[in-house]
Amino acid sequence: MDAQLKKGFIEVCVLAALKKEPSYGYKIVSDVSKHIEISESTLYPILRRLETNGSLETYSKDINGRIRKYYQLTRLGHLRIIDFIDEWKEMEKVIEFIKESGEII
Amino acid sequence: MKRKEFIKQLDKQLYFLKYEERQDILNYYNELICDKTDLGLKEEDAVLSVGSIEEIVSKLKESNPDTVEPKQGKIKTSNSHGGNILLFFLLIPVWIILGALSFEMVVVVFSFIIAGIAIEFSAIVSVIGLISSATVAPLSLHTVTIVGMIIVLFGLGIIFIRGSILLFKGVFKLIKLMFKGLSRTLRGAN
Repeated sequence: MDAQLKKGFIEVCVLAALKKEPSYGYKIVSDVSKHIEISESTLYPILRRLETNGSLETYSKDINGRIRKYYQLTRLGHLRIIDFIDEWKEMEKVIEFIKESGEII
Repeated sequence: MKRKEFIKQLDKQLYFLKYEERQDILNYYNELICDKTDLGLKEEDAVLSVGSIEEIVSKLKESNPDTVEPKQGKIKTSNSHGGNILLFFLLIPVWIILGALSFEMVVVVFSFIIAGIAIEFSAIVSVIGLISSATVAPLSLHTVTIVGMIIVLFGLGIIFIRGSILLFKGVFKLIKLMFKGLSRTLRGAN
């Protein structure tokens, strides 16, 4: 897959992984990697970017005597998922056109 | 490699980031390794699984192109100087005038300091003279006048010295600004 395209996908996948409930680093990598290849070092800059642009919020929780950082989806984060799905619908139409034109040739 | 060693080494390699961001990254990897060991992975394997330090650093730089390494910044500056050798030579008269002007200003300020010290010294000599004369002749109205003059001398000396120190600071800043401005012009023309 194209690197830029993949980057965009991973970002939305991370948001999607947080849709049901807040999550933490290890769990996000595990959940997302079931669908798309992602490493721990790739995830960190994405989380940071999503937090900076307001799609995520963070809080810390004491788990078994150590602090764990949780990431939580904001309203803007939810909107970004919806926007992505809408954009993808338009994209499907374009793909359909590309496929059809391919058949003619 | 053990977790603590890994975090320590990673910290060293993140020197180009601000303290808060560095701590956030270290906490992130520390938490990941701890989570993995809690699930039964060996500490060394958990460290290996989060990726190499080189990979982590390169991913961070990739996602954060604004981050300028202090070392690289310096190299860039010196490179830009390299391209301006001709301009540097053309500006030699300006450098000389600036240098002479700076030297003159420093000399003037320095002479003020010397004057201040001389005044203080004369005040001290007057005190010594007064004490020695007081042992020979009895105190008179003249003595009071001389004491007054000595106090004035001390005061003047202090004003001269303090004033010239302040002036020196100002002149130093001015010289720095002049040279900074000139080298900026040199770089700006690149």
